[in-house]
Amino acid sequence: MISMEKEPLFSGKNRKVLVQPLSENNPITIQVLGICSSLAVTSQLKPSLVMGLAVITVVALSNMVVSMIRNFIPGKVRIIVEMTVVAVMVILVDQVLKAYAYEVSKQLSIFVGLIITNCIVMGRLEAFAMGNRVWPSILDGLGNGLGYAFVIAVVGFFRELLGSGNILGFKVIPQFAYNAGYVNNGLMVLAPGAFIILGFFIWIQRSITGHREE
Amino acid sequence: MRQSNAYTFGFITVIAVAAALILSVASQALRDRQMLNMEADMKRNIVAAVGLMPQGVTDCRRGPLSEKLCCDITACYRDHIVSLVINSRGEIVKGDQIPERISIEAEMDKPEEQRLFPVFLRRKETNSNEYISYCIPIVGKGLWSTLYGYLALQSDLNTITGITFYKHGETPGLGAEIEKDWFQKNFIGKKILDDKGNLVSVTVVKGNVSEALPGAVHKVDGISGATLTGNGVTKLIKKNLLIYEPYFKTIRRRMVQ
Repeated sequence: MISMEKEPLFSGKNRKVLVQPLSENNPITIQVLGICSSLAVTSQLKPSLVMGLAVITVVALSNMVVSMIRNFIPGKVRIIVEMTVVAVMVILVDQVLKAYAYEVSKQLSIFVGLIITNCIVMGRLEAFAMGNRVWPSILDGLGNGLGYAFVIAVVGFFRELLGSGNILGFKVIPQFAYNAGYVNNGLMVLAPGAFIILGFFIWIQRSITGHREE
Repeated sequence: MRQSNAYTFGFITVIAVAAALILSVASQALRDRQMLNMEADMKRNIVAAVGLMPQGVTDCRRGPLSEKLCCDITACYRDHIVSLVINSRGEIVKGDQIPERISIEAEMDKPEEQRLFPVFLRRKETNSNEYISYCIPIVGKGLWSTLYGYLALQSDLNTITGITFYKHGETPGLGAEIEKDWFQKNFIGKKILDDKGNLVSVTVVKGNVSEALPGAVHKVDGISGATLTGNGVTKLIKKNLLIYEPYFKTIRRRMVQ
């Protein structure tokens, strides 16, 4: 027991760990990680929200577990160990969804499995959980998960609105607009639509925060 | 010490065993609930295809499966549906197979004379032996994925009562529209036989069906942007109807007499 100095749960440093990934260090818009899944699930809002929740859970839990065992993991097999932890978490999430949210799990089944390959999860384990204590690691996982969830929810919102005229399955573009000649934008339903929305998102965010690539 | 091979092997073994243990416990603990959901989901698709809905449920195809909805569907299914097993010659097979558990895909891998197929009949009333609807499972390739659903015919074995798709991996907003009401409603009332009684099935067309043209009764509006999924649906309906055609033929013959 060398350093057990009491640090408040939400000290300035910890708050920063939680909040930074939401905007100035967002995994999608700044680090441009996890793009593949943000294209695949965002054609409607509901799957985006559930996918966001699933990723938050998986990143936070696997950050926690890896941080707990970080001092025992042999360096040369650490990636494999991290993979195993992530895979266990993902399968658990999938099983729980199947038991308690069957409809959603049907919609997301393949994508939930693909969380294993989401670069954000592995990236956070390597970059943070391997070198930090348990509580900050959980916060870091939550923060990055939230950052991801927020961005794909926004993308999902606009893709569903512009592509199908719906929000969460409810019609929001009134019928008279269609009668007057309004047409849903089919491109928004396809993957390029996500790229376009994401591009706008990054543009707006960077012009507000003034972020530059070094 | 942490770098030695023995330690590495030992550590990996511990991790692997722990992971296996956690997953098997979770799978055992959640199995009953998952099975309940899967069976209820299957039953509600049959119930919806034959045009029955549990009381107080306007559209039981959508929405989360709650405990109560599961019970409603199970009760409704028990009271109104009779399930049978037939072989590839269309004869009813008595045996200990459970029709609800038969997987069409697994059956198609067997030699033809050993294949068994389920049929779900809707009773006219509870406990009556007269049937007003015949429901068959439909399985086949869409664009990206295998589609699973049910198709129900009226007692003339010609007019479609309803269709449902309950499992697929098509693009949300495009091919995935096959699970939506507006698409499935298009099938209701369409005919699978021509005037001479030959099987022509139904075709999902590109765009909308013009009712004036001949053959409109065998055609269904397509989904814009999902023509290939539509082609898949056309193909799989025909394929699955052909499997059941021998059985349907014997019933039609009996009706004529």
